[in-house]
Amino acid sequence: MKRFIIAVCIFLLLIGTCLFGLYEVYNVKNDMSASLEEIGEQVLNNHLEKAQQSIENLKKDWIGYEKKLVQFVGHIPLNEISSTLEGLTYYIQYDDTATFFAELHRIKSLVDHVWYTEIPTLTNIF
Amino acid sequence: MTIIFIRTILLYILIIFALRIMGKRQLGQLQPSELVITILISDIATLPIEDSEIPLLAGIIPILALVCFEVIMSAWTLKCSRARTIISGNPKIIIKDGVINQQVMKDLRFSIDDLMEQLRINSIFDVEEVSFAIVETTGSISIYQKSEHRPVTPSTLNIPNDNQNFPPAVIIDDGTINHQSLDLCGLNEEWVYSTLKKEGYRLKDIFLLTSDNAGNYYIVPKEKLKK
Repeated sequence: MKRFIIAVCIFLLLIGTCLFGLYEVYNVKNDMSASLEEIGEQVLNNHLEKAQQSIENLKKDWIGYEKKLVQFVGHIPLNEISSTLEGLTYYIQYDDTATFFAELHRIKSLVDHVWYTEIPTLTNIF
Repeated sequence: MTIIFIRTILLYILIIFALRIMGKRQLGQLQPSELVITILISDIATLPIEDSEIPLLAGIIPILALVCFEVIMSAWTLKCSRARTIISGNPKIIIKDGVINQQVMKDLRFSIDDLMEQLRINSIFDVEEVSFAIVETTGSISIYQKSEHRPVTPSTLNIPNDNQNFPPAVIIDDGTINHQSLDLCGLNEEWVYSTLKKEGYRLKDIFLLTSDNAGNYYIVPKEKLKK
């Protein structure tokens, strides 16, 4: 009986951990998407200094997000997001807007990919 | 490298914990579902050790989920015999009154060699000696011999026994007294020290001391081993 109760408690804890992980990934996805959207708008409206400042802020935020996500998600997409983020400022600095937007959307799709691969849909399970 | 080392230690502790929750069984006595879980756990545990890109939770969660699910299923099958039949199956009589049931052998995919091997392991070399042979859900065979072939016991010969129904317990293990065994035998430390004094030993000289509840002891002193 004792084992059964321990097993049930651990099972509930596991479900809680999984839900918490999903919650964290969802929050990061929303925050990152909003920030990336804002940066894109700023560059489109030619507010380049503001955009560079926003990118720096996003990089700082990403350090915190990555520390959380690394516990729940595979590290490969997170490493890709980190390395792509690093290059963004330089595309603005050297007027390479086309590559900037390509990389910006790449980060956005990576963030969405992390979320979509975590949610328990039939496609993901099978 | 350090990460792999730390993960290995953590997963080792986790697996020990998981196996403790599952309970004590020897490998040969595992039900099919328990055997599957054991094999799966060993495979899953290697993934975060081999690849540090995978989060450690990707090993911890499946291991704990499998173990907890197994314990919950075991508790359910304990209460529900139908569930037990579905998951573990039923024991099957393969020999009855010295006659082999060939249909059961075919159903279980048991060859003659398998059957004879199991009989020999149980010290039976002649099928005719067997009254009942039952294939358990773990795959092992339990045998009930015909009365004329069964080993003789004191009660069969009406010999009064000495009521020695208590096996010897380990009292001293490598110089350390096992107090639980002492209590089980109804003995105390005073008896241990007086016995050792009588035999001319000190506690630290003893490799093994066993005793039953009647105080019948057996001593193995430590040898001087080569370094």
